[in-house]
Amino acid sequence: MMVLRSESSPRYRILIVDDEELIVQAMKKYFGGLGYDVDTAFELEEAQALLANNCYDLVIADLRLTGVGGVEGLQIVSDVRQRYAGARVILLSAYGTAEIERESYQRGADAFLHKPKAMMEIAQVSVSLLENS
Amino acid sequence: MREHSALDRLVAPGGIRPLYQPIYMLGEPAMPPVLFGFECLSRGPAGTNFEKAPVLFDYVRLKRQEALVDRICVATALGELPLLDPVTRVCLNVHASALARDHGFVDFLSHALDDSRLYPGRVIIDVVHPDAMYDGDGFRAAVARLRDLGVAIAIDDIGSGAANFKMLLDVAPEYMKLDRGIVSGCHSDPRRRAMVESLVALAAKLDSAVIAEGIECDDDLMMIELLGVDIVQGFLLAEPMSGRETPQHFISSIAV
Repeated sequence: MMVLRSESSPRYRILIVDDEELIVQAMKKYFGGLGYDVDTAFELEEAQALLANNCYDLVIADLRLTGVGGVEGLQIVSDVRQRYAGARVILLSAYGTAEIERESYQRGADAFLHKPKAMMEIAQVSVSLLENS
Repeated sequence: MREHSALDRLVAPGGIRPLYQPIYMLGEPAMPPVLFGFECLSRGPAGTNFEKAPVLFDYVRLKRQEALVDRICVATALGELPLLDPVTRVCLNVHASALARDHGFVDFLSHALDDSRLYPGRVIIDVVHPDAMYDGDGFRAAVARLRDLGVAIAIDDIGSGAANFKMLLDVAPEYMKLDRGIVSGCHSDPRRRAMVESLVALAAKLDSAVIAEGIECDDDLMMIELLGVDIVQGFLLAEPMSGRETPQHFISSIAV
């Protein structure tokens, strides 16, 4: 098993944004267990309010936060990029087209992951981005 | 998707919790400060992101629901307001945008004060986030109606960038609340002192009283008093507290 964090790793602060409560709870538990400080949000505006009042090292956001057709995750990528040049941002989506994936990178996403993804894979990408930031 | 949005939960009964933070008036040297009033504050449900007021109100503004939530905050604050001495002021926070857009707000406030048997002369409407919305017909009309009602007006966040000088001219508030960002640390920062001193002089010329927020250490309190501010608020003096706690706090503060 890959060692995701060493004792000397800094204590990163991350924000997880998804409208599925169970997914949010699972990711919070997983990343909290890795030693990260984890905040969570379920809506675009809740995430934006947190971004306005806190500093995050990494934001992991689902593309779709309002049901069919939503692409709120793209707005979160833009907001993160506007506020913190150094923060990392990962977009997750079960519905991502090549066009949306391209746009997410244009807006400044560091990774675009297609769901379903095992928690371990999301964590590996996260650690890699954080350790190389 | 979640069945209820955070907004649904906030506007449901019990979604907003009122807290009350004492504001003090400094008296003669060596005399204890006396209670001037309470600022009514609001918090979202415990254990959520909205427990922190900046997140709560940024969220509400992003949802463009500040008028609805301001009404709920005022109603819950007045509903749980403890019995106070008849001269104690009650400071209620209201967004400039709520005043500008919610044309029924002043009538709502008038009825809410009636229901609480609170004389409007004791009430200060603390206009928060005034940057964008103060300069419109709706806001001006609301301010005129607030004056007719007999409440005083304070402009919040002076010095934070969310309040500007033209607004002070247009609104002519009875109170200018200095933002903690310029108050906190003024004892050791000559630039902050210069700013506070200038704002105190400006307030005097504009017939406004100054309230300094964010007093968190004895040195700042001493300095702010030397700079001519006599109404103060901050964690050093008292933290926000629930309605149940306030009478005891008030009694203990005047017994010093």
